[in-house]
Amino acid sequence: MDNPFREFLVSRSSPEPCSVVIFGATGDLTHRKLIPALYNLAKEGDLPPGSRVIGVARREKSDGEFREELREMNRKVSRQGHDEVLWERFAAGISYHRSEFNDPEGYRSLAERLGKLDASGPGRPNRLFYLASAPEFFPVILDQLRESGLHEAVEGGWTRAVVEKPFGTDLVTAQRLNGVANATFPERDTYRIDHYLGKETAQNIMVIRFANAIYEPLWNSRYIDHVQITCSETLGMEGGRGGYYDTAGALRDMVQNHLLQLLSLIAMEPPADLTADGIRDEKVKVIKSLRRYPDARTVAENVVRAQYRAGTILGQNVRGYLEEDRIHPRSMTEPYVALKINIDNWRWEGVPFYMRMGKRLAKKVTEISIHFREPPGVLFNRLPVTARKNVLVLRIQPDEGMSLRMLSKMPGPSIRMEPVKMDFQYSTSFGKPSPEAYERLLLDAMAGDATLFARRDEVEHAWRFIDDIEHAWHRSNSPPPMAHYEAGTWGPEEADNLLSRDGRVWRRL
Amino acid sequence: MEAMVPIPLREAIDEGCFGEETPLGEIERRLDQYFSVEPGVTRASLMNLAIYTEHPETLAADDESLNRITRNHACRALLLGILPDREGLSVRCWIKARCQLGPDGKGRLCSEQVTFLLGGDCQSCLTNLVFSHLRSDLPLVMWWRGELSHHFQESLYTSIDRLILDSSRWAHPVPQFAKIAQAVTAPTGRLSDRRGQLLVHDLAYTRGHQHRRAVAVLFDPPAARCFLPEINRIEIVHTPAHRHTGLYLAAWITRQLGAELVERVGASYHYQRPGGGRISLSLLEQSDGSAAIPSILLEGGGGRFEVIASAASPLLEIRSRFGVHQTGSFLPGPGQTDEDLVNDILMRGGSNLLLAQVLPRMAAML
Repeated sequence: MDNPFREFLVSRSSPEPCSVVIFGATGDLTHRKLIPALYNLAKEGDLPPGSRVIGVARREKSDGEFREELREMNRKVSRQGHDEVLWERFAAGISYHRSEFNDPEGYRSLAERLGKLDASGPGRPNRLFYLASAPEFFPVILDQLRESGLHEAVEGGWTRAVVEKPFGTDLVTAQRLNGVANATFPERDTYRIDHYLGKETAQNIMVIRFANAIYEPLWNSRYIDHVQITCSETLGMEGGRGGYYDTAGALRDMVQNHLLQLLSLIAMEPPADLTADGIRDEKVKVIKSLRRYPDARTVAENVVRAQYRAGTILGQNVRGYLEEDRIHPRSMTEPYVALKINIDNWRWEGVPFYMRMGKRLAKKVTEISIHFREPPGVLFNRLPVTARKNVLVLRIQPDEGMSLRMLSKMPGPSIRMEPVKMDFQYSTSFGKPSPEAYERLLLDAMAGDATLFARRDEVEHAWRFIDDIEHAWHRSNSPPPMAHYEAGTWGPEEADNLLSRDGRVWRRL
Repeated sequence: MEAMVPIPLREAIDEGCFGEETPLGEIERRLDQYFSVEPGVTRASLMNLAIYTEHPETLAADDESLNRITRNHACRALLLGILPDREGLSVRCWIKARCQLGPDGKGRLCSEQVTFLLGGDCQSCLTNLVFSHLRSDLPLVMWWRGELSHHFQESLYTSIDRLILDSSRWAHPVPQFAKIAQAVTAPTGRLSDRRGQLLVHDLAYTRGHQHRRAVAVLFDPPAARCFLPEINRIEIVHTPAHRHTGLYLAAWITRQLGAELVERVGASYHYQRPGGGRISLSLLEQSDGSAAIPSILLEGGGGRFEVIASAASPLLEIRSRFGVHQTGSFLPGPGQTDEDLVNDILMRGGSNLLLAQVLPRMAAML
């Protein structure tokens, strides 16, 4: 029997109360993102009453100590501030379970604990296992969940797993991880989280494309000249992140997941419906259509990797990549990558997608710009003008919003034209801040809506594309060179050449 | 054309808060001047929001309401004060701009406000004033304070996109609801590009939104849902000022249970369920406490489901006892002020289909 009182109440699937079991409970992700996200959901009344959090980690800790640590961090980072009364009520549902990730006894006692909690309430025995530990523990946690029987849904309830990135480090490891994940949980219950998809503007891409009449007719190779996707960061390897980063690099850390996800939302065909698989079917078609780079020469022509050298950012001197903490002094890892990507399908034939991601660049920006073709060179278009192309920009961060550049006549008796910009910012129209990506994604996982999560085939096809590049860089006899740029600039000259040889330039940001 | 004569403001009206007094024909130009010092700022990008009142002594409070609403919604605000008892047509107007830091201190949320004070019988004047001072292409939301007077006329309401009112403040609700019914079914006016019916939001209904969520949460556990067919007693406690909210909740609960009203005795209502069972519903008035709806109780088959609000807490407590289970939890309570409720309405948007379906059932209980 459905709940008749839910009719019309919300326009999205309702999340169900569940036990959120977080592996890696003492880590930064749990403290800074997951618990504050759950707290803010509780504050908004969106966290289903009866939901509980069980943190699992290896350190010895009592429930009280665990809650106290979480409280301290929530005070500092909670989006909506910290209310002690509300925290007390929320924290009453948080407990800590100490276990090694490979210890069967720890999982047996966890199962017992969950069983008791389930029996104490009227709700269904729903369980959401969140893998927030270091990625090397994912397989063993999944194995142990299976061995202990925790992966199986208890009668009347469901069991799901949320897996944090990285989903492997290449196709082989991704397939292995997916194999373990799917041997434990069916694909429909496996939620690979990509927090970029939880951002308001990323979700808005489909609304802009498919809820407005004016864009979709132009959204093809006839009217679009090229697309640029930029993710630039001013940060380097502060806070000890160099250790992980030097084993990953920009291509694997950002492009394989976040940026290819954004590209697929921009390039996908209209889905048949708004179901998770309806949308993901179309996204995966895009990833499958990415033209691969069969050899090192093609990679060298289409991909630029680079490391930053010492420079200044916001008036501060900063070190070069190879001098950063925990970076190997002869590292061949790239903190910067730029790519020219072609999509071999009907809609995008001949439209390059240029993508760049880098650390220690001039400013922090993530955006997608759609560069339209020039109008026919007659009438006004014979006149000189600084920038003739219309550009539609979707800003992911900061200042989420969009803008459109177009030509306008300048005031005066003669015909002179200049580009002008129409701008929409979320923050100048809506006073309510957007929810954190993790809030949205946690709710979706509780509601069983996988739309904003990556499916196995998406991840694996993305790795196929990325692996060609990684192989050329690290396994070929004639690897493409590592370029360099000064920290605080917009990247290496070689990346500019990637566009200039096509008669294009990176958008000035 | 009838000459406009200046009207002195009543002493009770504090005109200082309205901004700069401006000749009618100068409004747009002067507003442009305000924003010309800061080119590039996004002005009023979401909607036109008009507040209408025939009680000019509340204009300063209405101005403060707009101040609070424009923290969340960038709009062209029109504050319309009518002096119905004044003879001769007269208009005064003021303008001001409001810019506030956006969420997280990013961006600036800019709104602009035009305040009109109209004296005399200005039926057509009102409509013309409103429609000549809207920002183009943005929807028109009108918050009508108080009773729907003869100024609530077809030429106006057929061009409104969203109408907000508060039936709990009406002295004579039956004819007022009849006016609403007429407005909802009227064809769209030529000044609006809305499709479908006028969207009506009654704050008396919105005040019960969190209570509706709480009732829904009570029956989320499947084991609790088994008790739904057994529910035979409903008790809703309301404060004197919020009887309409109580009625709306009663109409909503019984609608969702598929029950039909068969008899009314005082504040007790008797419903027939499709399967033959009966439900007895009581609306109890409680004069103390500031929560509009202090409690809701649904009972039957040994199950007991409660939503409790207290003046001391901003939260709603939900409690249930059914079978071997006993549960309790808390949810956010309803907005504390009318502005909170209007903010909620504007934030949620949507078509408000449920109210359209509950309203006739509620009106039948009046």
